[in-house]
Amino acid sequence: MFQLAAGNPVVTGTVISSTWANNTLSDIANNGLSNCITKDGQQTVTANIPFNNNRLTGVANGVAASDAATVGQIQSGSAVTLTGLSGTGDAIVANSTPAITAYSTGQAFLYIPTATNTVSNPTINISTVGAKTITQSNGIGLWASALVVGTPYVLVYDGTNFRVQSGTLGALVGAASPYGFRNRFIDGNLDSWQGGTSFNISGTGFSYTADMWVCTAGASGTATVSQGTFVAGAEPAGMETPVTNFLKFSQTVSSPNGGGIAQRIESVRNFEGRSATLSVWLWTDSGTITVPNITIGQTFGTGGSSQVNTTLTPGWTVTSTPQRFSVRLDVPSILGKTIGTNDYFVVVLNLPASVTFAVNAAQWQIEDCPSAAPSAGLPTQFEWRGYATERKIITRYFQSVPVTSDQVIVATARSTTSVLGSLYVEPMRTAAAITSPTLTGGAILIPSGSTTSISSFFSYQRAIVLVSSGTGYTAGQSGLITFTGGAFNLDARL
Amino acid sequence: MQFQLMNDPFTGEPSDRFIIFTDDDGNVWTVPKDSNWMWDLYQQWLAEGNEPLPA
Repeated sequence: MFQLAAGNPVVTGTVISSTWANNTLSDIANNGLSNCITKDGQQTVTANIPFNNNRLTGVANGVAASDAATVGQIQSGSAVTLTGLSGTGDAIVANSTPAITAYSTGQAFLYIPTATNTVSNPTINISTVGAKTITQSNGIGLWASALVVGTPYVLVYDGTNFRVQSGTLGALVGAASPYGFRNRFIDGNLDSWQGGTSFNISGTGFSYTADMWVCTAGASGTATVSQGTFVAGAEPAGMETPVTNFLKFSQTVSSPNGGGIAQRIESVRNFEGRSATLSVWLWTDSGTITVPNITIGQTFGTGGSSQVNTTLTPGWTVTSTPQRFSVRLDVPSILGKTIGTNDYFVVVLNLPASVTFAVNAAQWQIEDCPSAAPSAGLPTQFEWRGYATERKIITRYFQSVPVTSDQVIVATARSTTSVLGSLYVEPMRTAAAITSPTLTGGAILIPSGSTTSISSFFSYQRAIVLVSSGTGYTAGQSGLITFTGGAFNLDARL
Repeated sequence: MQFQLMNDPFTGEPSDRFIIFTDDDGNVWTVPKDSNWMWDLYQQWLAEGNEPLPA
C-alpha cells in the first residue's frame, strides 16, 4: 500500500520547503502513480493482481489466445467452434478464433460439417496447423457418411488423430458396418465340419479340412488337421461365445518350407486397394512357435492375370496360452488386372519350417480397417452370425445332402436306354463336384416292374442329376428312385 | 490321387464336360469342367505331363 514520504502529514504552521515539496511529489509520482493501472492502458501490469473476490466487469471478448475470455464468450463456445469451413468433407479446412499455432493432446473443438465424408479416414486441418485424421472415439476409422451435415461433433485430439468424442454418427451401411457381416471369413468360428473332423495331409498342395478352411503340410511334410472342442464353460477368457470348436494343426513330419492354414474368399475384389485387419486366437499344445509370415494371395482365376502374393511378417509368438493376435493387411490394388473365372482372395497363415509342433486356431476374422490403423490392425469384437446363417453361406460352396429310405425321387425315362431323376438342392456357387462315399441302395423303379441301378450322377448349380443306363425303357415313362441311406457331398469350393 | 476321363452320361460318347477325380481318401468325384479347385488341380496335374485314365 502506498504511504506518504517522511515529513507527512504536515501540521499547521509548518514552513513548506522545496525539500519537503520535491521529496513528497517525487515520491507520489514514482512510488504512487507509477504503480497504478491507468484507464488508457499506458501502464503495464508487472505482477499477478489479486481481485479479492471482485469481478472485472464490462470486458470485451478475447480475440487472441493470450486474452481473457468473457463468460458470454465461453457460453457461446466461439473460441472452440470451428469456423470458415472449406475444403471437402474428406479433407476439411477450418479456422479457430483465436487461431491456434499447434495441436495439444486433449484439445477439443466443435465441428459442424457443411459436407459429409465419403472416405473412412477424413482429415481436418485447423488454422493451417496440419491435416489430422478423424476417427471414431475408439480410434478406429469412420465410414462413408459418418459425419452428418449440420450435426455438432466434439473432436478431441489424442496426440495423433482427432477422435469424434460425441455427436451421433451417420448410419452404418455396407461392408464398413461394425454391426453385421464385418467378418469376411466364412465360418470363422469353425462350427461346420460336414466333410469330416480329422484329415491327414501331406506335401505342398492345399487340402480342405474344416468345411471352408484349407491346409498344407508343406513340401515333404505331413500333418494332421482335426477338430478340437472346448470344454463347455471353460473357453479361453476373452473369447466370444458361443465357441465350440478350434482347428488343431499338428505338423507330424517337418517341412523345410512350412505348412499353412488358409481360407479362399470368393472374388479377388475383396479388400483390393484397401486395408484389412486379420485376427485369430492361437495357442500351442506346448512350447512356443513364431508365425514366420502371412501371405495375401490375389488369384485372378482361369483366364485371368497371374496370382499376386504379398507377404508380411506379423511378429506373432504363440505360446500355450491362448491369445488373440491381429495384424493390418494392406491389400494391393487390382487396377489393370484381368479377372477370369473362379477368382478369389486368400489369406494364408504360414507355419514354422523344419520343426514339428501342434498349434490351435479359433475365431478367425478379417475385416475392413483404415489404412492409418496401427500395424497391429485393431480388430473389432469377433462376429459370429449364428449357426443358421453361417451354414446357409457355406451351402453356396459345400453341402452334404442326406438321403433316406423314406425319400423317393421322381424319375423319367429320357429314351429307351436312359432314365433321369433330379434331386434339388440349395443353389451353389457353380456346378459342383459330387461324390457319395456313404450312399447305399440306390435303385430306379419303373412301372413295368423292372429295376435297375444308378449308373452315374452329376450336378448342376441347384440339382443332382441321377442317370441310369439300360434298355427297354419307354421315353416319357415315369418311375421312382430310392435309396436306403447315405449322403451326396457337393463341392463348389474355390 | 487319380483322374479319369468320363463319357457323356446321356450319350455314352467321349466328352470333356466332366472328369472323374479320386482323392487321397478314395472318394470318387464327378467334377464338372471349370467348376472348382478339383478342376484346377486337374489342370496342374496335366501340366506336369500326366495323362488321365481312359473313360
